[in-house]
Amino acid sequence: MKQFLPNAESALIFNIQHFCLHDGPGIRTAVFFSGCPLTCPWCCNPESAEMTQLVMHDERKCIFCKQCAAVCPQKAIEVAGGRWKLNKVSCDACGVCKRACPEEAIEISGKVYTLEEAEAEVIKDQAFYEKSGGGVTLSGGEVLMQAEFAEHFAERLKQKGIHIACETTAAIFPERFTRLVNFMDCLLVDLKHYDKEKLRKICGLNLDTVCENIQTAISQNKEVIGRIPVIPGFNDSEGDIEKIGELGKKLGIRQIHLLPFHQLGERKYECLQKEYTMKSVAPLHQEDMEIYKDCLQAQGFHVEIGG
Amino acid sequence: MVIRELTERVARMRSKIIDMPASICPERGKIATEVYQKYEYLPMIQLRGKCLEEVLDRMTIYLDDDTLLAGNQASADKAAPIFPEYGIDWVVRELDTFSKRDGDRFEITEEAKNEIREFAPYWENKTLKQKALSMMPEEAKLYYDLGVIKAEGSITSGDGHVAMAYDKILKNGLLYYKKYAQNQKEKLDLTDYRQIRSYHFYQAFEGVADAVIRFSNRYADLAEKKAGEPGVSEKRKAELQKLAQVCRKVPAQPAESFYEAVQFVWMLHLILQIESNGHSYSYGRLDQYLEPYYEASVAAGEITEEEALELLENLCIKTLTVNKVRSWEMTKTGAGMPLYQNITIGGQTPESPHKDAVNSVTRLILEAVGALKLPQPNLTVRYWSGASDEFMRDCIDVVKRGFGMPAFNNDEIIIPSFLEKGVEEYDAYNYAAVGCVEVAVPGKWGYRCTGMSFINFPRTLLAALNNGVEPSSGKKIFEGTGHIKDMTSFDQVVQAWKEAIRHVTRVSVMIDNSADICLEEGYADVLCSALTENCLESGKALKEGGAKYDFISGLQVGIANLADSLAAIKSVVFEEKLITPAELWDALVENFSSPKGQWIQRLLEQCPHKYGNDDDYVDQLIAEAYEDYINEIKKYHNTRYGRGPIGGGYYAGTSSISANVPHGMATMATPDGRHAGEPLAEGCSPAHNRDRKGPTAVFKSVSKLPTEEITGGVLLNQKVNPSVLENEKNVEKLIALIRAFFDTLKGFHVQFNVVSKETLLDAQIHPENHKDLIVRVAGYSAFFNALSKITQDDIIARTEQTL
Repeated sequence: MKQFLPNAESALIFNIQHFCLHDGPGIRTAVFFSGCPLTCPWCCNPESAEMTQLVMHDERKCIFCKQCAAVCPQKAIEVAGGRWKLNKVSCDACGVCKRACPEEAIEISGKVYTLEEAEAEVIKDQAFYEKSGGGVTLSGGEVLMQAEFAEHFAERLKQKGIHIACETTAAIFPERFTRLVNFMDCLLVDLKHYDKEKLRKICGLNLDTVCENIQTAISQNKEVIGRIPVIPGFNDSEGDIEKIGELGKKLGIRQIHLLPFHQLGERKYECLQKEYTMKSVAPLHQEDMEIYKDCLQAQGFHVEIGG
Repeated sequence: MVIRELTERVARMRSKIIDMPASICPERGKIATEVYQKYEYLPMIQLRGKCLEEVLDRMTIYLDDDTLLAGNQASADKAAPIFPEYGIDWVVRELDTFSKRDGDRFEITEEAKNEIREFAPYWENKTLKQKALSMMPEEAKLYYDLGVIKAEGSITSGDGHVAMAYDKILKNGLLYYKKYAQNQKEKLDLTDYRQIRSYHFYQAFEGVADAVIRFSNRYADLAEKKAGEPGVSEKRKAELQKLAQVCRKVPAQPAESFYEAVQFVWMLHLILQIESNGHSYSYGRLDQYLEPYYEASVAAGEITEEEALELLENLCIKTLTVNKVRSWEMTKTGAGMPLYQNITIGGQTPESPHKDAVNSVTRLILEAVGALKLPQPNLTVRYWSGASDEFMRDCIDVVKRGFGMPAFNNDEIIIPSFLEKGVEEYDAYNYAAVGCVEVAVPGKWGYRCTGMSFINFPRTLLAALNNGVEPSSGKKIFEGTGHIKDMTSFDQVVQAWKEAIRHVTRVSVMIDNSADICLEEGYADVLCSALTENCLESGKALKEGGAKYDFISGLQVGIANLADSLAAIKSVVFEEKLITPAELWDALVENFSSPKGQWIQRLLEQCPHKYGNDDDYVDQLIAEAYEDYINEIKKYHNTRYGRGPIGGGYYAGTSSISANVPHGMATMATPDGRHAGEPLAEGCSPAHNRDRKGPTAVFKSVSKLPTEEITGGVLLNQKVNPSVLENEKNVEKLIALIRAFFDTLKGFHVQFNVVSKETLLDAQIHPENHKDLIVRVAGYSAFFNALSKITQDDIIARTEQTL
């Protein structure tokens, strides 16, 4: 599949979702940028990992009629013996198969937007941002992967007086981060763990970079909310949460959102023919978070469950 | 807002009314038949008056053990009286099936059936239905028979759709109006034939006023009798004596206390529904006119807040005792036994400078309705930009209870649109919701501010594409502009639509006028007319042009289907040229049944431009197509034009109640990919599951309709998953959503169904566990169990907004 090359004029975006209630203040529109260098196994947006358009195939809807295979100009689809297989190298996500599918089993993830197109889409809800104190949240994937576009995009929205938040791992590119932060009103930054080694091994990230970026944001007087995805077996002991809290405090964070682990992304892994390693892990619920909430509140944080 | 638990007594009354089965009561029909037989020679309006008088004098009355209010519509709670003068053929035909219906079941005894069979023959060739059908010009009758325009409601029942000016009526008392009528009568010049008509109107009203007072006194007698019965507790005895006192005073005399005001309003509201079987008789701005009495009674130490609340709860429960039986055909159009008795609260004061009108009674009404969770009365909140967050939060607290109330109407669009139509400022600011979402000025508006004929938009489009031939019957209904198979551009489709809607609109007016002529000539409502401003003054009943204002609207069904159909034709056929016009038509005719048809259905369904997603491509198409209708209907007048009222014309309206289901049943496959027989979209809401971008996009699409012209109501249903509102922050966001829709986008109305799909599915399997589950059907709520399976499915299919 063709790699999308990040640039200032256009971006690969896998979803623009209106009426988001959990990604910053008020009623928001979240713009999900494709591409993420991390490897967190619990990721609920696996389609965001690569910076390409992707074919997502839902085997549960598929009736194996082979119409997709018949029309594919690249001959990238093979249907045999009750299996549907995609040659990801030759597929260029042209979407011909999607249109041929009688069961709506095929979706194309990712669409290239110009600055104007992306702006036109998010500006539609300006009336709702104004009344609710909401705005636009840049999310992903990892928005820093397309930072140049994001900066220009944010600048345009700022001119329209729109509140902008950014949901980021803050794990890469300190220079780009510094520039992007200029345009942000609020940052939602992951605090996945305090243990450097664990983070490197499991998520493929460098905690030092995260800390450096957070400090940059805080030194610019930006509102930074730490988000802890609470993952069973990874960071769900009280001790873990307490230490994550200590790290957050040291960095100057005052607000924490606890995000209980869920398996809502599982289906997407199937659709991408990717392995989902969290299958057997039970999801957590709001009530499971209370204990962590108490712990973090004791440390002086303002805590919300679910963001 | 803390919603107090019901008192033990009110809870008991509530359970009783919920468990009470609906039934049919022949008593009124029998009395009416006898009156008509005896007084057939009387001038029509006197005959109508006589009929009401005798019914009030002779009908069964009762007082329940717990009730604080007096007045019943028929021989039992939820028993529907029969009004044979409007139509009786269907009653006789359905006698044996009323209790076996799939939804809206009515129990009926064998004696009741026999009584009805006995008096029915008198009405042969005398009912409104027969008269109206023969009044319709041939062309109009053809449309009626084919069902392209439906108007059964207007020719099988009275008009309704009014709210009374209870503020004035409470202050004056009924005897004031009687005296006024006598004075007017004396001033008449009876050499003028028109004034002889007025003479009989006054004469009839004098008799009716006395009969209403006698009726109230019957309850006073009964209450006294019950108070004297052995074994009555001292508390109840005192209550009954008090009730007797109140009933002797009001409605004859002005009300002076809160209790008197509530009993007064209930009594008149009830009698209007004994006089006529029209529906949507509404209370108007209940909080505004009750507040002075509440404050006075509290100040005088006559009543506590809790007692006032209990009285309001009594009023709500009484409201639910009123019932109406419709033919099975009509039932599908308004499923769930709706009477649409609306209470309006909030909004602004009519006096300039206009202020927030929320008062102490507003909260009590909100609390009473919220605590009771009943499908009637229908509660509407008038929203305006100055409505406080606190009040909005109180409203959402009731919305959260998940029975579809309150609905919100928007002052910011409704008032300007009234002013533009010539409504005086005081009146415009004093409007109330009537029935579902439609609006009128209480006590000053003629009948049916909405609820005239229903036009099926998708069927109109199909006839347009078929060169003026109605496809399911093969009958030519107008001179078309050609067949879609021969069309080469989308412009030709637009032209065909314009031509079609011109014809259909014209014919709808013919149908409305035919019904109105018959209603005027034979079915005057003496009491309702006399209480409406300018009727007594001008000596004219409502249908003669007695009201101060008289605008009406019909209902347009299948807005979203028309939108998506136009977009699919434009995009799939003429722009992308994926199929030819002929292929499209053939696929529609065969209902997408062949493999090729199935493929075409998919193409149409996958067309990315769907109404409800804030997509200008389709939103623009429907706004223009709807404007074609609006510009056409504006040209026409109703039968009261030039006879007195301000207005006398039409505007548009989309509150198509549950008519989307039967209209869909009679509509072949449509170019939006909808199969033949499937329900159409309701109100102005998007088609099922076609709104994929969340509520903001729905609001945006809806707001692009020419709302300022659709004063008959722009009905928007939104389903919200209960979990969304569990969080306080989200409640704030919902309020912001409403504010943006109303303040910025100038939407007309919105209501929320806060009930999960799982609950509804479970209620289908275990109805016994969900006896009090109430859902928002259209501009009204109904018990889920009372609905037929197909309407239940339709409600379940509406997209749920969760996030």
